[in-house]
Amino acid sequence: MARYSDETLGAYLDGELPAEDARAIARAEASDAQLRARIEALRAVSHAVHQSFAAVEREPVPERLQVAFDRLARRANRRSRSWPAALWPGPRGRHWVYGVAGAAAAVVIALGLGAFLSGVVRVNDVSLETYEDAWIEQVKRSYDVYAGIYRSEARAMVDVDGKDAGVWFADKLNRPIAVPDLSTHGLTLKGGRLVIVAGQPSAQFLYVAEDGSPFALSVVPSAGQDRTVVAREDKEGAVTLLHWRVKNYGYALIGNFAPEAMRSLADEIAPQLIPGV
Amino acid sequence: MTDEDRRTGAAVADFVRAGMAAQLPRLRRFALGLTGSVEDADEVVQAACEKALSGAERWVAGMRLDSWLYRVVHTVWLDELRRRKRRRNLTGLEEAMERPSPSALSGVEARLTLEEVRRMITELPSEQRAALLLVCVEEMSYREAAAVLDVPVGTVMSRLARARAQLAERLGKGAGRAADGTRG
Repeated sequence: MARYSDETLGAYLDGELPAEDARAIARAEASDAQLRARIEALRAVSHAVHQSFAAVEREPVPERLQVAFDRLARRANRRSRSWPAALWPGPRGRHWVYGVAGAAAAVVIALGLGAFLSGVVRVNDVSLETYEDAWIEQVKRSYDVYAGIYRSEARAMVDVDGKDAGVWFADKLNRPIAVPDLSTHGLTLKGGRLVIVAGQPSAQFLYVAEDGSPFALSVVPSAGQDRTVVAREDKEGAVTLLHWRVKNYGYALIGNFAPEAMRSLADEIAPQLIPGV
Repeated sequence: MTDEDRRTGAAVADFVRAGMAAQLPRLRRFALGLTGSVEDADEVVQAACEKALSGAERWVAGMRLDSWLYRVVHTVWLDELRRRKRRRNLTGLEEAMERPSPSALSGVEARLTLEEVRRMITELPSEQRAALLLVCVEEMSYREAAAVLDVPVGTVMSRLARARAQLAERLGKGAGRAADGTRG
């Protein structure tokens, strides 16, 4: 049997060997049954380890941890707000213009959402009352991360490629998800990210505009009455966020578009977002 | 401190906060692998969040944010292990790490559930466990894992090799090479 250390074989399996060394092992593996069995055993370990934790990432973040994180984030947010304008002033910040959203409406919407989710997962009253704001906040946070990394590294941090996104998210969210082709609007789909909101999975599709600016569409299973487009505009920055709800899905668009252009885009693409239409 | 400094510091804090929110499920998975217990994992992630959010200025732009966050989680867990050992108040998990596992004593089982694989992983020495989780579960390169663990790439390789060999032996695949002495 060819003599290779476990370090070398591990690096071979992990794709860390120089191409020439990897080819040499592949050749030896083809002709050496003992070596093949040894590599297979190590490969089985890697597979078992990966599989044993694969589902954990998709588990909802426990309510207790999410609440603790939100509390810590709010505290950190307050500490860091003693300086000039940031992109996201936080919920109900002074730079955002809220459309029709109001406290009473939020409660009604949340109750409808709870009735829908009750068949899927148990959600307590506290989550219901904060769900929509939590989602919008998460949309903004996730976009910040995506945009920040994309601008500095030109790398789209995605969980799934664009071509697989529809099937993958349908599985994760347990319902059909339409992934719109926005290429006619100059937006290239880079892939999708699973975003946990109040312990529940939602989808965020990541695009890049022709001028290289990041753009995202978020989709979350929802319920209750349909809701017209609500705009939240950053008066000092160039980012606009629109969100609306139709046929048991909530949608949000966020990117460097002027509010009028974003609203026009929303009107145009809204019909193709509804699965099966 | 100038306004510009404050603005930069605030932008970094925002970036770290947003990154941490998005990475929460993965950080929790890493912590679960390290600790072997959901309760411990959530405690570790919560403590790591507090540490990262209160010390966001320690993250240096240019360093991968997720690598830094994994490092904070790992550091918090190592601190917790040291604290427990000092108090001689070892948990069942830590006691298990110091004695042969039931599976090792009773022979290798032909079929292992994923839960059993997880348990075997938690029985590995903590430094091997961390390297294994970062590479095999979090799919980091050796260089990225080395950055998280703050060790040379060669150390990651040897820890990984020892971890895999132990697990392979326990999984009954007969790939333990400890006594072989072969080198690449």
